[in-house]
Amino acid sequence: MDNMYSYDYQFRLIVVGDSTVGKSSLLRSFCDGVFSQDPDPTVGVDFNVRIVEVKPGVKVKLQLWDTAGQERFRSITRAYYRNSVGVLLIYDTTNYVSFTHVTSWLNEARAQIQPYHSVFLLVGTKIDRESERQVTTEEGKAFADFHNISFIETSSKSSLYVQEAFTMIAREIYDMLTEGRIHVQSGWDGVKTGPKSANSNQSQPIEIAQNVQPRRNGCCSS
Amino acid sequence: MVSGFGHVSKECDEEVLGNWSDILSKWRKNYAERPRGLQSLVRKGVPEALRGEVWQLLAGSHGGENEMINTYRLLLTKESASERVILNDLNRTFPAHEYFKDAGGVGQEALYKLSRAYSVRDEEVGYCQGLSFVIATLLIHMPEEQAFMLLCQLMEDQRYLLREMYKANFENLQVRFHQLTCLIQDNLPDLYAHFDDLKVECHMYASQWFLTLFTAKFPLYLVFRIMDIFLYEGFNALFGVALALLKGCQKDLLSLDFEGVMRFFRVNLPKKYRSEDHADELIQTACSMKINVKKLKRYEKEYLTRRAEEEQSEFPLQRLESDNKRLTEICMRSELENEMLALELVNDRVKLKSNLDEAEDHVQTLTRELQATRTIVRESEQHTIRLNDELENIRDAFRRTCDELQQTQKIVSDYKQICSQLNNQLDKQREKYQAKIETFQSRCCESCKPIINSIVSPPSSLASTPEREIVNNDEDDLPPISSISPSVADRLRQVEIELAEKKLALTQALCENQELVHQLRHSSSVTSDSDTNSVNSMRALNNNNNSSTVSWLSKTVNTIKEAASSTNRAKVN
Repeated sequence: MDNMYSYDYQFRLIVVGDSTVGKSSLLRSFCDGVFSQDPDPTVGVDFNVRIVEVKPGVKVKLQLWDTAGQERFRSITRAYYRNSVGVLLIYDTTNYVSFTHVTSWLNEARAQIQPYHSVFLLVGTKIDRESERQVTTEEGKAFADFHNISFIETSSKSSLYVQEAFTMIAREIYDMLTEGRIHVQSGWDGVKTGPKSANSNQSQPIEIAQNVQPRRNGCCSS
Repeated sequence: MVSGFGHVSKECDEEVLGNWSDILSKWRKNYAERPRGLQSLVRKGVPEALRGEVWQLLAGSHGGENEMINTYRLLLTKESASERVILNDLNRTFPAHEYFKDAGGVGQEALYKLSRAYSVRDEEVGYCQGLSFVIATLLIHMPEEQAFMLLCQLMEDQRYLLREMYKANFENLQVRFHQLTCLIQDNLPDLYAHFDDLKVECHMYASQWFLTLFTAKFPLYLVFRIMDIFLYEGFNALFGVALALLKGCQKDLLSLDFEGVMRFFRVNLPKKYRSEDHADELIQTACSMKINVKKLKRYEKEYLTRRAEEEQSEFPLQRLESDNKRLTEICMRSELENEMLALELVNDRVKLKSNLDEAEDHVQTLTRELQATRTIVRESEQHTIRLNDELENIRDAFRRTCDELQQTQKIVSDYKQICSQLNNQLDKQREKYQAKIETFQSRCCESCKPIINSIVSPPSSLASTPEREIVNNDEDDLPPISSISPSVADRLRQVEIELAEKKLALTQALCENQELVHQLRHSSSVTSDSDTNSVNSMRALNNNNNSSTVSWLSKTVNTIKEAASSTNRAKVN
């Protein structure tokens, strides 16, 4: 089990999307390794934590805000974008309407998250229910490409690509950090250095930066 | 742990029930006035069996029932804008409770109808996630219609005024958060400072507390106790419960960091109240909390003023500029999307057009095929008519041939008769001849006998053997028959001529018969296509005729030949 106090960075992410697309299930699958068919609806916000390894020897703690999907809760969840470095835009692959709403979630996030850099990941859920699929992988991919963000499809029930989704966005943020496009700033909780790297030499992250390949996807405000 | 857990017993102390029945009998006399001693009884918990009635009395939702029931039924017939969200929450509300656990069960059905009816009644609130837990709590204790009336009371009555909190922009909820923060500062200053340090804010943990009235995460016996005091005291009881919860775990919270605090609220806090004693303690603490109404008003005012100032402090031009920038970006993105969609539309149109063309081509080919098929059908019909005509003709011909055949058969039988007559005559002639020979032999001398015997051949096979023996013995002595009997020779010649004539007639008849058979065969081969069965029977008939004709003919011819040869021999001799 990960030691919660041994990590190099801490990223705070927010998970958004329509009601019942499976935000809470995705987080429970990722953080607790469990799946329940009908979890309680998230009223307001919920909080989850897990540590991932973005590259050998580099651990990142992910603090994840789970949000309510109903439209009116945006007035509450809006406050959570400011201190987030990444946004997971969730839609249900078996529900086309939830996919059409991704645009508005993306716009909302982009409008709120300024002036900080942020990384987006489009996540399609429930791919274990292939026979009920309404949104094709190609459609999801096309949307992500159009908005220049990353894309992945998952199943929380069979924990398919759940780990990969979070590692993917964490790695992307980490790469931007080492490239100097995202900075640790006081008064902003999006990215923080962990106790491990805070104690070590400051030049270390820069060394890592030289080994990392350039990012594939851009950022909204670059 | 899923919502709706924690069994609540309906059993109750005799004494407590006695107290309650006293109070209730007083109360029923005058609904407007709460009887004395009610507060302490409510704080100890309303007996589960009485909750349905007591809650309605506390809220004042009873009375005017008929009117409300009609309203409720009318609301059920209307469309709700929140249909989808309501449906989404049905099987996620109190799944651990017997009444609500089955999808499509009575409990979920009632929950659906009630949520829907309220969302139609109050469009400004509609349906808010979290509300389903409150409604379910009411439905456990009373029928749908009464629960609806109680819900309306909770939403609209000044003591509760929940509709303000559930309104779409949550402005009132933000006021409540601010009030709670101030109350924490007043009552739990250490915790306030700690939370301030960690940047733990009310909305991170208390959204659910307020929006579900603490119903979603706690066991039902605690949920119902909170509902008891909430209905008795009004909204401020919720502040009391929130403060009591924080106070109860202040020590733990003070030792935790941000993550620890958030985790504690999510996991440890609900766990702690799985004991009924803890639940009771919490209610007592909540009731003991001093919630000053005037202060709350002041906090509200404070918050609203601060909000207004914040909005004004933003430089108007700057705000407009940032708005403008944001809108321009959105506009650009929308335009791009629009272009994409337009492209898609064009592509789709082209595809549809080509599909249409293909379909039309297909229709044309099919029409052509249909016409060709029709022509073929028509031709076939004509052909059938022609064939029928031919069949009719062939039948006529066949019938005619059959008639002819019958006539021919008649002729053949006539000839048979004639031939048999001739045979008889022949036999008679032979007998006469034999008799004459015998008389002739008996009259002539011994020396002439062998000569006569030598010329006279035996007339039949039966008599031949002894006669021939005799002939062989006395051959040399017999004189020629012609020289002996000229009258017999004449008679023989006559018979010969007659025989030749008969032969000729017979041959003619045979020829005629053969010709008829040929005809018959020919006609049968013609009709064979139309009627094979009849042809077969015909052929059988022909064959029979032929064979029978041939057999009697050959017999007759043989006898005639024999007779002829014997006469010839006699002539030669």
